[in-house]
Amino acid sequence: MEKLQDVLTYVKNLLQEKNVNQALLSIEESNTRELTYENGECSLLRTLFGQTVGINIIKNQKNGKSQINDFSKEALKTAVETALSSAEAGDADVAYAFAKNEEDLSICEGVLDSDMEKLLERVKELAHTIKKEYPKVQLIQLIASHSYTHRLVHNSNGGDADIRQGHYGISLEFAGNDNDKTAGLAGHFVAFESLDKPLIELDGVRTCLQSAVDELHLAELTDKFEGKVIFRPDCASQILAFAINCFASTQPVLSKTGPWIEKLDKQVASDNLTVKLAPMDERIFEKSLVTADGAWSKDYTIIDKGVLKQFDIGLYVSNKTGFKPAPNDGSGMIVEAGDTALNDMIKNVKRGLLVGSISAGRPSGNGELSGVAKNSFYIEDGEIVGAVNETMISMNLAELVHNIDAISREVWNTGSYCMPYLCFDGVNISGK
Amino acid sequence: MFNDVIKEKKSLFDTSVQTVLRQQQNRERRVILMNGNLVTNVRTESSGICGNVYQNGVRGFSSIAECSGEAAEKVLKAATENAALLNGHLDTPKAAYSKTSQGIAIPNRLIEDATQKQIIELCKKVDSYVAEHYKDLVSRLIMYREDSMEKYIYTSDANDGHVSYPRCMLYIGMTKTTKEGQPVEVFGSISVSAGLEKAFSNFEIIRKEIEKTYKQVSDKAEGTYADAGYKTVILHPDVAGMIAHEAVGHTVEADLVRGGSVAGPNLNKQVASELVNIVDFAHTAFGKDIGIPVYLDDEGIVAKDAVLIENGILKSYMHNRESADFYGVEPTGNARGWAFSDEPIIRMRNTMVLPGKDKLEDMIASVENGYYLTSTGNGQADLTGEFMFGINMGYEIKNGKLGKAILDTTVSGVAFDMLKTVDMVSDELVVNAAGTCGKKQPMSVSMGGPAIRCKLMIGGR
Repeated sequence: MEKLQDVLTYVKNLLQEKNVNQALLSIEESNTRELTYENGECSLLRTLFGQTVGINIIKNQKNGKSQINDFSKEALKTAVETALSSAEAGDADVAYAFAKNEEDLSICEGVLDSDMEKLLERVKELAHTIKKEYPKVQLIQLIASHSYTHRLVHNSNGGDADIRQGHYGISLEFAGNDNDKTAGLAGHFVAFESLDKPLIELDGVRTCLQSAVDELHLAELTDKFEGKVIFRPDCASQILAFAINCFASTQPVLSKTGPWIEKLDKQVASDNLTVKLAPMDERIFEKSLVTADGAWSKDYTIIDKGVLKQFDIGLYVSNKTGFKPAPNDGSGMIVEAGDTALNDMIKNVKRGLLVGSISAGRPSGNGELSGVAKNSFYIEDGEIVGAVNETMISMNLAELVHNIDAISREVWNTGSYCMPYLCFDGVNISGK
Repeated sequence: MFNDVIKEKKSLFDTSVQTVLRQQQNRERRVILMNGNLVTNVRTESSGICGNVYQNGVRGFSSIAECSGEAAEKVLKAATENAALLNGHLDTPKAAYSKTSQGIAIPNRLIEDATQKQIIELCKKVDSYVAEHYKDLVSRLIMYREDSMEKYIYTSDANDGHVSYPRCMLYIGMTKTTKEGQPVEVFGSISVSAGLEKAFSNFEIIRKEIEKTYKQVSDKAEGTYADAGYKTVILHPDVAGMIAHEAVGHTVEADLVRGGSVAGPNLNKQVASELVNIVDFAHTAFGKDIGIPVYLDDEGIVAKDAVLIENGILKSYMHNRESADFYGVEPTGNARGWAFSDEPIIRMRNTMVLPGKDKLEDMIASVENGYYLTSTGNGQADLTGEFMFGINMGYEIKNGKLGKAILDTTVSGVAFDMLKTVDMVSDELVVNAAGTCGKKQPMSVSMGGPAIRCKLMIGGR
């Protein structure tokens, strides 16, 4: 605490000497411990001591930023000079601003100290369980980590924040494997706060492992057709993030392009879709508590019953366009459970796919997205026939979100998003 | 100046284990002008020290965001303790890494740091040119990005060295609308393994890229959807480079081979047409520096070329010390870490399809009904060899002639199936040093090749 506070005070004093009255400062230190299991054993243990200083200033309505990871006085002086010279090099713009906070923020949440012995036990247990219960899964790499950060934020427009956060995370990489037959690479990530239960029980882990096994059995799909696609929760969150980024983020809003630019408070999606960006929700562990403009993050609903309620933009774009700035930086996507069981959702598909992930390029500005359906299964007459390979799906995201057929009762809470299965109609599916 | 503070700490290495101590600085400079608005103006420097200790088959690693003798001692101690902790849980200890050469490498290039004023002035000059000449654009984006790194490497039993990797990139984004009012965008880019002054002092090169980008976005605004299916395509060298990286490169990284990639059972087998040769170059090709030259990797191994496919036969993989021992070969110097806090893992360097003898115009003329794919976005590959990458720009080929531009799409295939369909390879080599590969950590890479004719799946409507 003292070290961070000393650094913050020192930088504030340097800025005062330079007559900088508007500044957003972030001083952070972190400690990460990370265990890697691969090739059948715990093979790597890492301990990372990190620190960063972020200096964001506005002087004469010119904006400049510098970021370093050195707390020495000499480095801090240089960083202040760098931020000043960067600002000086740019043009003045009345739209540059920092957010205003009414009060200070003090948060201490999650698991601040790691229990590495327990984590090591849980990792070995998970590897053992996978070997025993999923013998046709080849565990390529398992990374388990604990990260702790302590961050001080000073916003000259109002508010100081003191934030301590810690949580665990696991990242799995694996593939179905049966002698010479290998299924597609699969992965899963979960953030969590407790080591009380086996890691195999974390949301989505068993489903993804079973999917890898099932992918060893291929279905023949050779034609091209329009059908329904059920996106698994991890893939559904990716699809919705694509849509928000494509139509409601800085670039489309500032350049006034894209299909949603005239659609604030209008219908942009099916009325059964509500999407919250809620980093403060108790189910979210991976989050940003302070926006890039220095506002304390608040939850909000970006799409309410299909109506676009807010653009995902910061204060600069807000001041340029007149739209309200978003209350957070876009983390913590939540779609609540629907009323259809996954099995019923599958039964209602005449021809289509259950898609675990999509390997795709960045969608274009008009929302066209095409990619390879990975970790995916062909559905015909309400039954899963088998896994697909070399199968492409294409869609227009703006049209797709109007075509939500069903939302599942089953929801994955992975600590970074809460998401059910989403079934969309009207997706182009093309086998080889 | 980024001064060496760790050299003296070599004397503290525990002689019973194998140790690498690395001091590293990453510098990023980023400026973005969106429709003339300066939306990003930031300079970042990140530096620190890491220790990497190998003992009986397990590794301990530690890093600290501080460059001092005390910091070096702290990470050496923590890394050694981490290795010892895992060693205590080992069932079967493994042998030490095999012996390798020992020497000292010195940097072949230095990082020249441009001021933010120089960077902003360059971006404003480019933006003004675009705004003045192309008034029918609905939006424009100019982005400068530099991601240079410098490292001091000291090892217990390999080479020591001081290496640096300067790199800067300029992106030019243009958006137009179609007749239906839908936005289409195209990005032009120039990337150079050097600093700003050397890379962008000649505005003529930038002007040509601007003109090319404008022509492409104008063509694309009149474009059509590709017809989805299995098609004959000519891949522009930039796209062929993506094939070398995504379709082949990832499947022959030895750690992924061990993870079950399709390359495992195919070593020394015909996996491609005899016209296909792919090499991951360390630093030099055809007598000159190529892409992002790597002379010494982060394990202290002198980097050498990895010949991946020769005349269509899969010849070898890319290795670090551990995988080289596992497969009984020499390490190739492919172990690199992105930041000081990253452990080195097997990464590609400059992965290229080698040129053939065909002329591009003959190749286009040979296609009755297909596509000429000229620009690619991101790509991904699978252990099975199944790959995809986004196509941002391309043209129909009808009866041997270029037709309408196509709208954004995705292509996919299975590497060793697709490579067997290659039946023409052009005689030019184009290298793109703007790549950033994602594999746990980011990593700067280059890729390239000639134009190739092949068959693959294309998405569309």
